[in-house]
Amino acid sequence: MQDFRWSASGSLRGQAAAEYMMLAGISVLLAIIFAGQIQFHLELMEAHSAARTGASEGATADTLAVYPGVTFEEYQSGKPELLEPSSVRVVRVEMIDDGYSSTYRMRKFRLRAWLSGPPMKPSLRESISDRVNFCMRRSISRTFGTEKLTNTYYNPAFSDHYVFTTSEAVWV
Amino acid sequence: MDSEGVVTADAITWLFFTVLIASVMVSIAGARLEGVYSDEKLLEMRILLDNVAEAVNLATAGGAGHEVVVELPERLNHTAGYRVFINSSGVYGWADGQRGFSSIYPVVVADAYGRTSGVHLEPGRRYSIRNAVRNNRTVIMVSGVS
Repeated sequence: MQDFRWSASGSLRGQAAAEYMMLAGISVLLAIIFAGQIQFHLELMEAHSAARTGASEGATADTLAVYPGVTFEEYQSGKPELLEPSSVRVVRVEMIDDGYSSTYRMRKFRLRAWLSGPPMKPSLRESISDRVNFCMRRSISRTFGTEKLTNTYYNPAFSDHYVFTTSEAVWV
Repeated sequence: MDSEGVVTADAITWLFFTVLIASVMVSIAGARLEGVYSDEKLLEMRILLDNVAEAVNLATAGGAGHEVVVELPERLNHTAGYRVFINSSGVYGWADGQRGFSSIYPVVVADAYGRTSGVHLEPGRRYSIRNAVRNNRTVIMVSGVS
């Protein structure tokens, strides 16, 4: 792009070529449009990254078997196997576009974690999946500072322009 | 013509997008760092509980008179306070609202006064975990040492 300088010569003082003005005007317009698109794309990228961080937190809690007090007591009485460390790993976090949601008046995305771990009962896998999903939603809400917009389970989670829900994890 | 202080449109565009991307990167990195910090605390708690449980199992397996000394850190990850409790089913830990458990070989655990309801261990102290036989039964005595 050419840099613009006001002409210093007498008769042309304060003048700019019409081509230059048009070019500059269109450039600014395009830059504004692209900036908007990039901003939306960056927001999605940030939300995806936050979801991955959350999924990793949830998997670590299951791997180390260290849980919040209420969950610990629930597992102690019903699922003692989850109190022993295991090797749950997040393979990837998928973001599925569910389109515009008339309920929230925002574009809605569904997050689905792909987990890998040792063979275990379906009910235990369900609990691990719930934990990972909860941590993903919480991480998004914290990243965008939208905890007050959602409920105790952070379901759904909001970013500035999108809404996120989670579905049962896929075990591989 | 004075060309000092002239900024090209290229530079402004580049700066704009760089700042935009950098702001997102900083946010992502911040979230990741917080996650790592939290994981480190949970990991330290898991290691601590497993170490104490291993000490109890070692004392049990070593036979009468076998003693293992454990030293507890002042804090987890240098910041978080914590509590440890041992009873006959295992070792329990609390830190920042998080709880963990490490199982032990089932054995009677008693404190220095012979009470078998369980023993609370305090951070920053050293404890002797000793295999003692009482009425032909193995009892693991946990007592503080200086």
